[in-house]
Amino acid sequence: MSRRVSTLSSSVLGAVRATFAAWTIGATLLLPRIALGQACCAGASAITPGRLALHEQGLLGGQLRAAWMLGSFNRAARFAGSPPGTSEWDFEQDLFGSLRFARRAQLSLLVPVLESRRRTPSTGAEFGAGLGDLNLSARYDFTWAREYRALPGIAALLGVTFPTGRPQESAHLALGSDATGLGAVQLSAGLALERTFGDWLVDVSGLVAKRLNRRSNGVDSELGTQFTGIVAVGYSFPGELAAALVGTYSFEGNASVAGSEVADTAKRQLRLAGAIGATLTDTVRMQGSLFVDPPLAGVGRNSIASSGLTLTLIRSFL
Amino acid sequence: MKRVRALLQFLALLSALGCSSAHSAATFPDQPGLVLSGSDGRKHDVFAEVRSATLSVFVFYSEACPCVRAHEPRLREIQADFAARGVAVLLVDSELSADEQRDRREASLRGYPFPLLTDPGARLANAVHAEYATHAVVVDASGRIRYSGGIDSDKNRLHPDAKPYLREALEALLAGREPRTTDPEPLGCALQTH
Repeated sequence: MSRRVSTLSSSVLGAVRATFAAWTIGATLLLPRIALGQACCAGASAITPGRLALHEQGLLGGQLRAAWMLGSFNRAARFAGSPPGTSEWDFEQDLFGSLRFARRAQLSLLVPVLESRRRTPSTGAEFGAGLGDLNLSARYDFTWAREYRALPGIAALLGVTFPTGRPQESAHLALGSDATGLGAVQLSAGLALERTFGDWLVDVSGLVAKRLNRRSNGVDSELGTQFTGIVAVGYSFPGELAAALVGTYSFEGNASVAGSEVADTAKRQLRLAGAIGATLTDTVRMQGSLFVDPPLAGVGRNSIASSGLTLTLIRSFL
Repeated sequence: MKRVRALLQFLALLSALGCSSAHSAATFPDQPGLVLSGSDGRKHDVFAEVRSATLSVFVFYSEACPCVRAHEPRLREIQADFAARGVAVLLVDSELSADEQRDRREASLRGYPFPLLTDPGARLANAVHAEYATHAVVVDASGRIRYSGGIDSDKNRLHPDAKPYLREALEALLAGREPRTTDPEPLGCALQTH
């Protein structure tokens, strides 16, 4: 049993964290601009949580995340809850910063630090931690939301994730708790659309991530291309409070090893989140969210289902 | 290849849309036909009003913009402090959704001491390249734009230590000097003028 959990956890770890990077676009990036009043903060967003709102020249932020495993989806997309005596807790602290380098363009850097506590009846508990995969991303807003009546806000997203974390094969602990990275360079590109309707904001984003070939233990391997779709709906309350519901669906094709596709390694995952944001001052905002990967048969495949929460604090510079 | 080319052309078009209005005008548009309805029930011949005041301050307005709401006290103070010195303050609603009746109702509801002009078609905003609500344009009696930028350094909350760009510019111009800052970024909402 312990081996099963170990293998499963390690194999999906990178995918879950990569998905999380995409998920943050909706869950935490939507809120700043809603909380400030849509029109006031139209424009901007990025692949990291550090999306700059209109007029912001830069920002620094931190995000805390805690998640616990509900169970896992197998290759047939069947869900199984965590076996008795088995558990996994994941924690993450992200530092991020963004800089506007042109009127409509911004660059963001995300530095994650990850910890994981896993336990099985046979191995007992273990705790691993380390630097995760750094992500550098850029966003160019062709149009800002509300700028044109006939057009939504349209933005291009580009990102690269560097394998600065410890990949699965380099983990020292039995359950792979100290694996903190995908082990491969990931290039991503996407398109984000957003539109305001009075106090409502709708954001639809799509991302494609190509994972480059990697060599480990003398064998070349490559994860399948990942596609992520995000739909977020936010509402701005009086008093600069905002709430949002975010759905993120990601799927990727089969991995390949030594040039051959490995059947039944494709993954998919659905994540739903509810988030609340508050603007404390013109330059300080705070966000919190709860998320869950619904443990329903068919919605996930070769992936872990988790539930958790995030807390984000951002200081921006006008 | 055709699809890639079409996509690139589309992106170039979008990019051009985004860059089309990042300029500032030096001269106020001499458009004799630019007559806008005001919330005070009058028709305002904009250029004639510019010539009749020592300085005219046009502040672009958006009904949906919290930054405009936040700056109302500052604008009232400026109106109160400078009206007697020949400065006219005018709000301008240049958004596509601008509606004379709604502007009149809003101005009445909020007790504006200055007229709110309805600018259907965004002729005035486009002429002075105003892109954001709270963008303030100061014009002298000769029609020369002397200042084009934000009201102050605040966004949608007022702080006592904010840099009062517009106020300083008015003081300088009334004293016969050039303002120290002539084009600070207006920290308001994107105006929907297209």
